[in-house]
Amino acid sequence: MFELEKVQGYQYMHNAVPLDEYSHVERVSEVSIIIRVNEKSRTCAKRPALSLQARNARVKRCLALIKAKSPMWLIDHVVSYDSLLLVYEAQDIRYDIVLRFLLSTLAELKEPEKKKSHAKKTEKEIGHVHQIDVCYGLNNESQPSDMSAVEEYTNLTSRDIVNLHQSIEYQVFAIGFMPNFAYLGELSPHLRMPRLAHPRQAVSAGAVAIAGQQTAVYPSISPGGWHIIGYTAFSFSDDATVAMGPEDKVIFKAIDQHEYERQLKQAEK
Amino acid sequence: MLTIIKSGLTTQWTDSGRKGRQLSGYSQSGAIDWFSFQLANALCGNALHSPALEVMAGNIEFSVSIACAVAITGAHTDISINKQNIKNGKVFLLKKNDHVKLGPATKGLFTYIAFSAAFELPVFANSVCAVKREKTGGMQGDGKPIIDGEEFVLINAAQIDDKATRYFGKGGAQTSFTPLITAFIASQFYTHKKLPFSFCYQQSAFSKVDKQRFIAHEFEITQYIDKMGVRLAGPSIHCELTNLISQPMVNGAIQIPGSGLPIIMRNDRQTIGGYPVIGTVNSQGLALLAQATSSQKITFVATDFDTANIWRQLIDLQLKQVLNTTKLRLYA
Repeated sequence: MFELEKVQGYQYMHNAVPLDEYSHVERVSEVSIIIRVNEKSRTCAKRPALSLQARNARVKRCLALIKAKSPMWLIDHVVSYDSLLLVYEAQDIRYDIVLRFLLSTLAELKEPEKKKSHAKKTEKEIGHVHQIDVCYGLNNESQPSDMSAVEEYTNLTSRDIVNLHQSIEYQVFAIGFMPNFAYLGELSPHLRMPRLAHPRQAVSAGAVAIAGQQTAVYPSISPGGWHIIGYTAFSFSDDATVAMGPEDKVIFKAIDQHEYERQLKQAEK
Repeated sequence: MLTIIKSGLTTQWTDSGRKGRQLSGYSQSGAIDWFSFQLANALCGNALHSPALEVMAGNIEFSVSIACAVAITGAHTDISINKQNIKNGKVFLLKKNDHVKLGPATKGLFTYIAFSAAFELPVFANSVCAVKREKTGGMQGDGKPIIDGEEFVLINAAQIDDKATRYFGKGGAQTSFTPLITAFIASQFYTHKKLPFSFCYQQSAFSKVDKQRFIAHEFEITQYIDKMGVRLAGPSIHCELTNLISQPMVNGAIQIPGSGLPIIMRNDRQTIGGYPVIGTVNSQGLALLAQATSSQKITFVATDFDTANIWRQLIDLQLKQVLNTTKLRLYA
């Protein structure tokens, strides 16, 4: 511990230890720490503020660097926008050793531009691209649609909305709310609209919805306040190969109702 | 065969929870009172993280089709075997088809029942836990608790020989614990509990006055108490932060929503949350909170993570000692 206190810029207060000018390590329980990427530079006020997307990318880079060393003590992790939770086994390892590991593993963060290309590569290798086939505008009793409300709010035709929604390879900002619910971003600026004033009690599994800068697929039935623009037969199972991971990417592809129903039948089998 | 004749309010199989699945948004889950859970296993001679029954608020009846040892820890209930009351027995021997009945919980909330036998249980994410909100885990994989009359197939049981029979004697084995364990069990049932916690997360967004109020005043446990979390009533704590980006939630995180009334997150919580967090209740505090019931009082006591860890290591060591002195082994 004493050695660590000599690390430049290190202040042992509030359980927080800086990693680079933007990010720091926070101790949040006996068995876990959070790496947080802040908007503003801690050391220099003139340095540019980071966008949420850039902060999320930095979080993923930290995760990629840590995963590359596959530490034995890491039993779980959670990615959420600008923060990364690492859970370790307290019986296996001490906090100061975890901290030492992080300070050496994440030293690369300090020179962001030079090694960026290398880091990007490792991210791509780890991440999996999920293609999700969507029947846009599907509207029936059990599967309501907000497409007309989106058309009205955005002043776009449903065709434009579908095209805009499909046009982006989305990154996973966070996974939570319920299993496999991935907050995907960023949505085209033309499609951004506030949440429903009256959230639905039950949104069907497979609903593809948008809210703010984000889009998501409801993996199972749940209450929800996002605007539904379509439905998919894609099902995230508990099997790890089709579970959503933080490094994953998602692309959407429009299909017609026939194809949707065929996929739905296939999924049931 | 284990038959749950009556399952009470909520009875589920539990263990030390899922590992490596929070990244996909699955709850950690696991025994709420990790201490009583491990103690029950230690008393039966099981590995400390073996599956055991977690009974909420008591009221359960069961029978086992073989002779085996059973340990009952956690919330206090009246216990009877074949309508014969058992006095302060924590671990005792069951004969074939003995009928065990637990009354409603008189003190505490979660009772743990471990057997010196293993049953066939479906595993999800390396755990037997069921999470109702997620509809994952459990016998049908839908997160539902055990129902009346449900049966579990036996796969292995410890040999009950003469030595073991002598050890358990009549009316249960004499269990003598170390002073640390004895004192801790007693403190779990105080009606005013002191929860050790550490300031962390957004603690700097709370004023010194509010932080002082947080540790100086007592809070009351409300009726909103489940495996996801515990809502408290008491002085309202103000946070300067209003638009926080959702962040990962750890077990024991103390969220302060707009109302200013704290919510302590527990095992079945969602993995991320958007309210500011003032600190984290450490594992000692979580085991104390596990046996708290509504309208009881709690006070937060500030400590640091290293101190919390030392306590935890001591308890872990002493639980292992309890296991080592139990004269029974499942995989002997």
